[in-house]
Amino acid sequence: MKRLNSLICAAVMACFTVGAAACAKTPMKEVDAEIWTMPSTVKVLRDESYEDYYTENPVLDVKLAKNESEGVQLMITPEEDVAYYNVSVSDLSDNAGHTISDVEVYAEFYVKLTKHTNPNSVRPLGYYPDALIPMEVSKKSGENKIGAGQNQAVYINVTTSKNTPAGKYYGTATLTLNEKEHSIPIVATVWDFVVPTENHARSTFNLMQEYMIGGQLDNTVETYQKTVDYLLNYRITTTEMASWEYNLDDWIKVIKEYAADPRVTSYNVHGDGTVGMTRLKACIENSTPELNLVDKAYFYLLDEPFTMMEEAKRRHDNKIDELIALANSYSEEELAGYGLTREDIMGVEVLITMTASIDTIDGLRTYAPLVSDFNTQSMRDMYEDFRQNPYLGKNNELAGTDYGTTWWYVCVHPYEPYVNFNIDMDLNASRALLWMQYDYDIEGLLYWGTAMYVETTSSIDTINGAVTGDVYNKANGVYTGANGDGYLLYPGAKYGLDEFFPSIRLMSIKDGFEDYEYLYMLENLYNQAISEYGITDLDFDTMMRSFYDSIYTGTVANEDFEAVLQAREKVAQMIELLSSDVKAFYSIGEVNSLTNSVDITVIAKQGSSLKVGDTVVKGENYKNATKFVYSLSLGESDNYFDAVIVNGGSEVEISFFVLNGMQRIANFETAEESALVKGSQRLGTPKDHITVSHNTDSQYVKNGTGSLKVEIKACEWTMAEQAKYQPYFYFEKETLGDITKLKSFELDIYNPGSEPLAFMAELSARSESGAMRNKRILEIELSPGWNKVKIDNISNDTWILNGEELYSKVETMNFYFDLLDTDIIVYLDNIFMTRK
Amino acid sequence: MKKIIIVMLSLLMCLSVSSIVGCKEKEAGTLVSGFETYDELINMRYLNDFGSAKLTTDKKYVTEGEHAVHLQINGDYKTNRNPAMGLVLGTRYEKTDYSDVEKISVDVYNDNDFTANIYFQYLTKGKNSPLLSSENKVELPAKKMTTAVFEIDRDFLSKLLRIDQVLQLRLVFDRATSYRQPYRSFYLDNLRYHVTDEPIDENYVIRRADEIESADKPEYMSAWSNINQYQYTPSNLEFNTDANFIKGGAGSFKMTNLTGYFTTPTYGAGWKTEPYIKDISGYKSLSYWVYNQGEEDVSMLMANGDETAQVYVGLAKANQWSEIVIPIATFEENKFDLKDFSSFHVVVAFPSNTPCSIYFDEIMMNK
Repeated sequence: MKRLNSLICAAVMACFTVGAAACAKTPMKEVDAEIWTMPSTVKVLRDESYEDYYTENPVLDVKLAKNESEGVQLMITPEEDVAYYNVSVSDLSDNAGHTISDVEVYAEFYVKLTKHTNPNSVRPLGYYPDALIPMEVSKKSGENKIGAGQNQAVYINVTTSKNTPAGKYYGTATLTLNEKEHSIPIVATVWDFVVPTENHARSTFNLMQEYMIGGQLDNTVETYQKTVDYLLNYRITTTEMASWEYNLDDWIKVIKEYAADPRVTSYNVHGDGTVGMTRLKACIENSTPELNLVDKAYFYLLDEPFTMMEEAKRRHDNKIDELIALANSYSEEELAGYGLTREDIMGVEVLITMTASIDTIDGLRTYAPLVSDFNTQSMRDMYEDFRQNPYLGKNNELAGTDYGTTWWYVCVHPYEPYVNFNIDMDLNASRALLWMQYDYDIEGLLYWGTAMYVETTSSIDTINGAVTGDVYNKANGVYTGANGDGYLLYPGAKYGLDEFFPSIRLMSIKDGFEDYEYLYMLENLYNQAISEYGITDLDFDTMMRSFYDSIYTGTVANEDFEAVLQAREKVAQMIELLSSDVKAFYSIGEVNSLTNSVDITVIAKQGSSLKVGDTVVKGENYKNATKFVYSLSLGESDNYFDAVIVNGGSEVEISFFVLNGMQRIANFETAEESALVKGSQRLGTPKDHITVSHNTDSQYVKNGTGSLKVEIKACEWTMAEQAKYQPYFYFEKETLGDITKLKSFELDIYNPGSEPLAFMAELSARSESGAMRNKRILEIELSPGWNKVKIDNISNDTWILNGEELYSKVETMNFYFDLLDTDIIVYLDNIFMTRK
Repeated sequence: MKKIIIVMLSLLMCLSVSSIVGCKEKEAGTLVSGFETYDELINMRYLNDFGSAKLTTDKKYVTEGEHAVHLQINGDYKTNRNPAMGLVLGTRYEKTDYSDVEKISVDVYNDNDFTANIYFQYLTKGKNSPLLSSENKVELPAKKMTTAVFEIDRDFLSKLLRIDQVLQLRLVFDRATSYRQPYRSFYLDNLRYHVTDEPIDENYVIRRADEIESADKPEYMSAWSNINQYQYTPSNLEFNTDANFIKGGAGSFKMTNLTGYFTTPTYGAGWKTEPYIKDISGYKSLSYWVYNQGEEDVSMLMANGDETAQVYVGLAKANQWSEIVIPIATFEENKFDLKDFSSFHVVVAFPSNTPCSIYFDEIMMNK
């Protein structure tokens, strides 16, 4: 109404000024626009073209369980300027009397990136969506305009309660462009299980009270505590749950509330010095058999102590010794009164972060390296070894205990391609991070700033005062050019409001935490089922491998922004299956490119039957369950598995996506196929040093009877070779087809050595000038034994150099090794690709 | 006499028709900030556990324009740092030469039920690091709108600070004095400066002959800056009026350590000034008095001429006055240019873990 009044006032004034003839109200111009949708896992840049995603009849599709929220994006791309837009969403109804009315609508606010976080990035610069401004606020501020040709995203967030019945809910999003209304159907599928309110993924995200003022204009205790609670709504636990301004009595009062809150996973009692021990003592002495205040307490002892590694170790060990002494200072009676054991106190986590070289400090109780430090299996093994060998006290008092934990963190680093929370990183990556955390058994996730509105280099300048960080207008201002680093919230103060707004990154992180709960639920249900069935030769991690592999490799997320949603849907379906009368689970085997098939294994309650179409699949007794193995033929278009499990009067449907259209490249069953692979030539002489040959030794064969042996002879490398040569084998474009249509390239590769081998892949294109241009698409280690290598979303981005598009000019796909002084032998098999 | 003539001339000019508007402007002052937008507020600096600053449109507090700013202030009661907001000059607020400014004014509603203080400070460019003028106080009656006017003693300040190169205008408030004290609430509008045509008196004398520092007025603190990059660590400096710790005149300066700041048993913390006397070649010594209000004797130090090392100059015995006398030869030996005495440091080798205050007074050159 205020807006209307303003228009009337303006019109009246205009009448007085220029006369009545000019006073007729001009209706806003009708504008043609593309109206389309995108999932919550992708950032749509304001000025990039996404024509491939346009659809004739867009539907806002969102799938979620009970007690969670999930978003979907409505996209608008008008042909001309839009002076006013609005989106409202009706209640969603299941046509059986139930409704979902908790639907938030946010206008996405675009921030300008003028340089990359990673200087070597090839991502586009320009306007990225980040702040989520409530639609009503955007309207009130008059920001609800769209420039011609620009993409404007509207984030629609649907929330269910524990009591929302499962089923499909239908509603309508009404989009107003200038004055014309458009209706877009919205469908929410609610799965039949409740996401736990309790967080099982631990987190510690710092909120620096002092620097909230730089954006929110407020660093009072009240606003701090309000923000701590706000972050809990996004499943994030703040590092200091109670304001630093509280004295010990008030601090412990606040901690008591949070210790009892199932959403809170951890709280820092504080680092080195006396404060932490005083607070821990207060936690001990205020614990009761009903409320353990020590369980979630930890010491964030040191942050990135680069220049004092030995000192860091000394302080860490001292802290452990202090904990032992503290635990021993209480009598059994006292501990019983507190409801604690000595082990509770001795085992408090003592955490140290470091962006590099943390592995040079032995015997820490809680390692917290960067996410990129877990990229390979050997790195993960190393930290697992560290976890199992923490410092045991100066008199070996802790021998036989198991207090080691592993956390990880992101901040300015690691740069892409590793997952981080920077604005230029993909949303599916920040969401995938929590899947990785579950997969790699990482205890908790640490992030340094959620509302750090300050140019960090000035934060210690108590003479001039800290330079505030205008995060709406300066995305790279917080810390050395890392876009969006240090904040996940946007200050509502810009709009005169005493509240924060989420960023789209925060939504994604929250979604990741919810996905983690899915995995937690699934593993529990799975373990119950295999225990009930008496199955001992299967394990959860193996079953999940194909799920995880579809989302990421190491700690690099695959580029397919829908993969995490597809995996989540499968997990949800599996939770439902395991909770149903048939108590079933399934796994997807490895693709066999020789037979163009994949085995789907379903295990269900004994006496079940499986129907795939009209075919009844024969089951076999498998311990106390029935096992079905169905060989699904893979075609050249998207492949799905649809079946029904029947048990007595119960029929439960299974339906899931398996693989994109698949095309075999080679299985090396015959010697002729060896010609598909060629080796590079040396810069020095003799030129040839790579040989490829047909292998029939079955220990190096993945499928069928043959594989390809690639031998790389070490030579006396010239200076030039040492400077710039890496041996490689390659496939030519005749084998690969149109690269722009290629989704993934997969192969099995056997490393017969005892050491990991560095292994890289690049596309090589010939530009119009004749120069070869290369693009790195893979960087991994080949562990000894078989390795499954998947290069996903090969040409999803743009590859343009000096205005020349290069994907269409790819001539070869090259696979590189490091230049070694010893021979390298590998075996290739089961090579196939999938098409978009 | 010179001042009287200038004032009369100004009045005459005001009486001429053509100058009426200009005189009114001078009287009303020039608006620096009306605290109108979020963008303006987030580009200010907020120091020392400030509290909050929110725009309001409540007409009760808006004296001009659409908005005023509502401040809720606490600060840290455990420190001596007052919460302050700083308007950064040079871009949004273009004027940086405040040598012609005789008054700063701001409309303030004191929303508290007690008389409260507001202070004004300049942060100016210094030789090595910025310098703050001493806090210029105005009392604000409770529950009233007041136009706080800060008179600027330009003649005095220009001798201590570069008021022609001002970096920030600071509005400062008292910090809380006890744990969880209720926030002090103020509404601010219209920060203005008021210029004068009267030139600065270049011959104005602010110190006695042979005086480096009398420490007799808080305004003299404007001449001192922390030797550390931090304004308040690892020591802080206050003006003292307790006669027990004054050696001469009406005041002394009190330097206090922050315990636990360093892990070493003692550490050198201190404050420095650009001396009023430039040529010390004709003097025999520099001397000053220190009172050590601490549990143990502490060493007094100064920096050498290029400030690369600290030099022992005497012992401040616990709970008594000690006179520190530095022979001119010490300056010569330590790379000082006696014809251009550009910096003098009072440095204390403070104990790390026990509280200690050093009062210093009457820094004089002796012939």
